[in-house]
Amino acid sequence: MSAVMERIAAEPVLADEDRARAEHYAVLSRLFASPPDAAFLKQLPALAATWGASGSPLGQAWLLLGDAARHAGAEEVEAEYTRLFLTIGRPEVMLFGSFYIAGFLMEEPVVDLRADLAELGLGRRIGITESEDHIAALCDVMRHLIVTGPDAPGLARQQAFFAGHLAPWVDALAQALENAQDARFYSRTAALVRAFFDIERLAFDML
Amino acid sequence: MTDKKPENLKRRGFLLAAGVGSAGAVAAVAAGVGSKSAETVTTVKAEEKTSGYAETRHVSNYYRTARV
Repeated sequence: MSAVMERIAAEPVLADEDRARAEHYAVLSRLFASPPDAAFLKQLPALAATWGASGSPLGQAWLLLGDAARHAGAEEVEAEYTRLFLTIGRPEVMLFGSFYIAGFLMEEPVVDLRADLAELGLGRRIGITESEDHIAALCDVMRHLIVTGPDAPGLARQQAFFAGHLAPWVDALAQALENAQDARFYSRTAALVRAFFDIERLAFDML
Repeated sequence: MTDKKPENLKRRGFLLAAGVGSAGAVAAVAAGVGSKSAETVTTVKAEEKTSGYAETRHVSNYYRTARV
């Protein structure tokens, strides 16, 4: 049995905070994997009602995103997604870690990442053309590691993966999103990216 | 259980105070999100790893665009 199947078969019970973390990773993945459809945009204000609060950076980030989603149409957000992330040549905002860490796409960070993924028994599905260091793919891996490993060895796996592949560049990504020209929706995802990953970083430091 | 260790209680307290808690109300929403996002990353079967050449969608896309 592969390492992945063993982790899934164990079906650990998650504490509330781990479920919430997994859901944050799911939301971040969905935001950046492809343009959000109308149904997902409608869910964001509902999520903001749960997690939004004026007293914390994460809560404020949720209020901002919920508000942005309420006033955005799916077509408009899709156009923005295409313009910011998919432009041929040099997209305005890069979603790939290698670009921020090494200065170019498909550089050494991707090689290191592939080795770590192989060790975890994970890899890119056939037919997916984005490289593995896409923010959505990295969030998917974190989510998988959280739901399959809330125990001490699992937390150590999460910590190592986060420190190696997300912590070095997610702040730069948040900065790029915030600075995106004429962006109405994705510039308002920056606060959530920054606040959530800040919390993750501080929480891992407590282990 | 390792969860009882003081450093994990500290971490847990921090996460809850930071607003990462109370997942109940949105479990259904994130479940819908999850089933989609989980498609990006799945396990690689041994035979896929060692098969060498395979005409993947990426390859056939290339063939399609290279046709004159």
